[in-house]
Amino acid sequence: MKPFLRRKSPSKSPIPAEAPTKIQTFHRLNSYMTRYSGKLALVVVLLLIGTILNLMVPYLLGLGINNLSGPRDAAALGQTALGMVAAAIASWFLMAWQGQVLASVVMKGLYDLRRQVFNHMMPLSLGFFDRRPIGELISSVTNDTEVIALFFRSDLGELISQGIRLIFLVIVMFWLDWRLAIAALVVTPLFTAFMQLLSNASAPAYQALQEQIGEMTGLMEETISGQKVVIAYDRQEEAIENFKELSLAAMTAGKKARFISQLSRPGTLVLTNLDIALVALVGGSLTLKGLSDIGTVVTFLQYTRQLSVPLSTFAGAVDNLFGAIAAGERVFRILDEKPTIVDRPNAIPMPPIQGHVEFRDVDFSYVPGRKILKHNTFTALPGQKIGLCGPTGAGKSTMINLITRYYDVDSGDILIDGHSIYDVKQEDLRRQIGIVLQEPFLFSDTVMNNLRYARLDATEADCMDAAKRANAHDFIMRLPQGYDTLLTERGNNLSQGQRQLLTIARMMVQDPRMVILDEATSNVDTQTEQKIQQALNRLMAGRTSFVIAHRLSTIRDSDLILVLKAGQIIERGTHDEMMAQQGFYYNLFMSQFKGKLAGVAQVV
Amino acid sequence: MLPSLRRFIAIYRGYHRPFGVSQLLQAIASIFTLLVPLMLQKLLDDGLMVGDRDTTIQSVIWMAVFSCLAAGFSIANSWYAVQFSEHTAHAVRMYLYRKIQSFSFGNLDQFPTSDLLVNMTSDVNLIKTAVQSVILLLAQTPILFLGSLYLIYTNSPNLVWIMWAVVIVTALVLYLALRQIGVLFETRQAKLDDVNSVLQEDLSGIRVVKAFVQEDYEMRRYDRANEAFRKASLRPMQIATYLQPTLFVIINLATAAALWFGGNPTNPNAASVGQILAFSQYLATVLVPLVALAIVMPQMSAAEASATRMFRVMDAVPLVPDPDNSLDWSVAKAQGQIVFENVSFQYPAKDGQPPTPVLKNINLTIEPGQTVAFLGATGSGKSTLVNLIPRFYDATSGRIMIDGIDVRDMPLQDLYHIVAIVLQESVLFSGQVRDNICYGKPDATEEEMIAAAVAADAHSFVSAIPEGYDATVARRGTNFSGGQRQRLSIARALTSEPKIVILDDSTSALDMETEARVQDAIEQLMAGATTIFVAQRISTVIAADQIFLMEAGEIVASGTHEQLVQTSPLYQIICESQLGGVPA
Repeated sequence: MKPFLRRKSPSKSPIPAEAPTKIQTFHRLNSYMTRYSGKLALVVVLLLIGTILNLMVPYLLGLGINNLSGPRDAAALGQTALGMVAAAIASWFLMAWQGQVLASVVMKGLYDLRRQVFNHMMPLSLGFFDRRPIGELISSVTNDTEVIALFFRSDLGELISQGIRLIFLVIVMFWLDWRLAIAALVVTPLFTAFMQLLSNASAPAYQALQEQIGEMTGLMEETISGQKVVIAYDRQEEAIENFKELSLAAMTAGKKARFISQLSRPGTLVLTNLDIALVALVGGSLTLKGLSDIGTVVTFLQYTRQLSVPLSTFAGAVDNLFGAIAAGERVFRILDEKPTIVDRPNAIPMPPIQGHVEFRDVDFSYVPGRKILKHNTFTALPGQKIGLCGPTGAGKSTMINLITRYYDVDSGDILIDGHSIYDVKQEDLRRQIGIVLQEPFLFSDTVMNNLRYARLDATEADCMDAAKRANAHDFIMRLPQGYDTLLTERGNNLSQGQRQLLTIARMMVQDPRMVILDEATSNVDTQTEQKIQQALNRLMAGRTSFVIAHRLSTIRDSDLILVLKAGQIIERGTHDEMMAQQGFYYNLFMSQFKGKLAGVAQVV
Repeated sequence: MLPSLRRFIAIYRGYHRPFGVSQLLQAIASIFTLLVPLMLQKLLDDGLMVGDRDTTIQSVIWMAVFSCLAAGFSIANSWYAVQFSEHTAHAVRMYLYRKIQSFSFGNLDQFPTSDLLVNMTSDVNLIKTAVQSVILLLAQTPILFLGSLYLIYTNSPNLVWIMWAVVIVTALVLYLALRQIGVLFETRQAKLDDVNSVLQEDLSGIRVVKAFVQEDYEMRRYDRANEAFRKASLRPMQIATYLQPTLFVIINLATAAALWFGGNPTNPNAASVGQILAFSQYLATVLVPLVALAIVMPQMSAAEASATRMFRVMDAVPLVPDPDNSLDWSVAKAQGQIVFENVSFQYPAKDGQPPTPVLKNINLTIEPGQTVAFLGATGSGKSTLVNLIPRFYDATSGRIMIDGIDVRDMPLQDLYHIVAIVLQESVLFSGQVRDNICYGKPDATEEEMIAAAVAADAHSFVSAIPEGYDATVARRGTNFSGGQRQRLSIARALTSEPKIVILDDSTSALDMETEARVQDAIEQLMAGATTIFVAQRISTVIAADQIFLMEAGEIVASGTHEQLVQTSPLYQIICESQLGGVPA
């Protein structure tokens, strides 16, 4: 049997049809740094002066050596030494300063980018968030921006400074002695070829390594998070065998890739030292013939040693450039998204909702071609409770998404109090509609702040009042710090039932004109269950409510029950009406009892 | 010092030879590195200064040769370093993974999945990096340092004091800088976590953010965290940018000093040109080990922390040991009778919290072939109770018997064979549908697999997929709906033809019609097997031969549905709330 706990790497998210070119992305990335042109100009100026001063040190050393190779002149020597000290210190100062400014520019650029991405994302329509796994979005905002910033700091910054250095080195070398300059630079093409060779070998090796690691980590993650199943079916041996295979593969790929990258340092050293030997040879010969002097040779030896640094920086930077561009592409894909649900240009504010809701022949699909709702038409009067039921996937949650304009209909219209929801401002609409979700979501903040989230201008008294009406006040007071208790991530230090009560309380603070309730599957104890029911009833009193039921008992007393199947309303009416019809609803209701009932008529 | 890493070294037992060879290679490389400046000295003093052409050329050739040899031996050592580190990573991964595979549920409870994954990935990497650094630098560091010292002492004794000044100043600078950076970096990490958690929260709770129209508020919140991070990450970076220029200026100043003090004609012990230059090169080589130490020390402490975390896992004792006594019993004889005798259970103490009692004095008997149900709310202990049957946990007191045999005396393999459990969260593995369904019995025939799938009401939707049973299951089964995943999990349990089938709230995602169908089908397929349903919905349990009603770890009532309706007030309340009435 083919071992199945291995899979290929998941396919990447689809790239839009007209993808920007790499150069365009690079320019766009650049713009985050170049907006600080003043500071960048300062950096360049400091680099220029600093590099010149830095290069003067070996030159002065050469002068000093010349001094020593003949009759030694103490005064001149002293001057030379002082010159070296001055140049070294000045150069240190300027280079350090330059580094500071560059660092601050890069961090500011990173801050700008992150801020822009986040601020752009928040107002995007819900469809954007539903389509993407959260992990991917977080990775883009956090990791990708970090990669970009790192590139700008380490690589681009280094590129500029090493580039300037290289240019000056070449100029100075040629100015001093063109023959030695050629001897020193003859290694450059060799060096470039060597780095290219290494890069050609290491790129595929690292890619293979990444893939192996990805597969191994994937398997690891899958089995460890599903370990209970592995135990329950006694499949540990197989899991170990599968993992061993992948771990070995990762090890082999790792050895290859890392050995190749280990070659770069000694390789660079060898080339540099051979170059130094060559310069020594050429310089020595010239000196012996009287065409040069020891001091110049010494200066060139120092310069040659420094030559390899800019060259290897370039090689490394090019690799990282591609990584940064790829990261940039992902980030810009988010920035280029536009909200799909927009207010009409002359959208009017929504007057206080009374609660007359009309669906007129509404059609909807998330994905073109797969209709979720077809020809939905119904009317709800102010204050009515509308129950929605039907098999999973029938479209009940979708209806909610449409009323609140998280998604727009394909055709048809939705009216509230006679206004089409497409004529009013989204914000007004949402502020007046309260939604209780299946999974209660709370922020890791104090209880009071969670309540106040509904209305930032609510007073503490308002919140406590709402909590009382939601049957939440008692358990809140029993918490260690009462209303100031800090909730952990996702509100985990409360029980499921308590979280639900808290979200209902939050809703009370909001005091919405309409309520939408997506019923949680009952996994709370009976007592809390009753409290929740009571709180919900209080919430719905006098407000038009839409309730998605998983237990038919919740919607039994609805003014209107809509039975949805495959996107269509196949039955509608009150509970009694539909039970008399003995149609789909009747069957659904009766299936709860699994034919165990005698005298069922008494109940229904 | 470094207690966990020292313990860790035990895995290298038997690798003395390759380790010794690698260090020898590195030592030789270092020695050749030290010889190069000597040749430079010779070139200058004995060659150029006196106009000796032959010596000049010879010295150049030796310089080249020694450089190449140093690089060659260094590369050889690198090879060893890579071998050692990658093998180490593999060995550690296997140790950990095997250990995790030997865990029982109780062990897994103590180690959250995310922690285990961190152990297996970043902890392994940190240890690997440290190993690599040690192999590369262990021999090199003392040789370069002491060698340079020695050569400076013998070659340019009057400049020795400059070297000491350089060493002390550099060591001081490095120490202070790194300590400062370390502290600031921690602050940076904390601020990064803050930024990320705002992001994470807002993305997972985006519906709530939009429902309350608080996008602006969230943008401001993120901005505060973002700004705090910017400041916190700027500081360590600022210190880091000082380091390289500082090292350079130290060397340059020292060279200037060497020039002056060595070259000054009034100095009775004046140095030669060659000596001065060799000295400046040895300055560089003496600093290399210092810088290396500065890099390696944080790596070591990170590796120590990783090793400590790792040993916490390695030292865990599997809580459910496999008995190795032979029984007068075999799987074929299994009937499926389950008896609980005074069973109590509590979760072990964890993180300073006292043990949590979960089950109190459970006594029950389930006859072979019965269909029973455990009904209760979350926290009533029903899941824990059924988890005791296949020994996912062991009871704290009392005993559980299958067919009269204490489950602790049964070989685990046999136990798992006769008991199949469908867990609450339906976990599927990536692969094919058929691989998942046959997970418990890889040699199941096609008919057996399909029969199980039909009973689980999975056959219809699987057949509707073009590839059918060969269809791919994505990681975690995300390409199937919750209800479909549940049905596949049920099919998986049924394929292994167990004598006892336990379904822990596994039909919660199914609507009541489908649930009824599945229950009937299971009854048919598993005729003769004991079937146990754990649920919160009355509709799931209503048709069972026996219903055990649980609350707060105890069985408060038991009987058929009709009996409970008569006798149990709690049952009546639940009926009322879920069904909207008490069916007579």
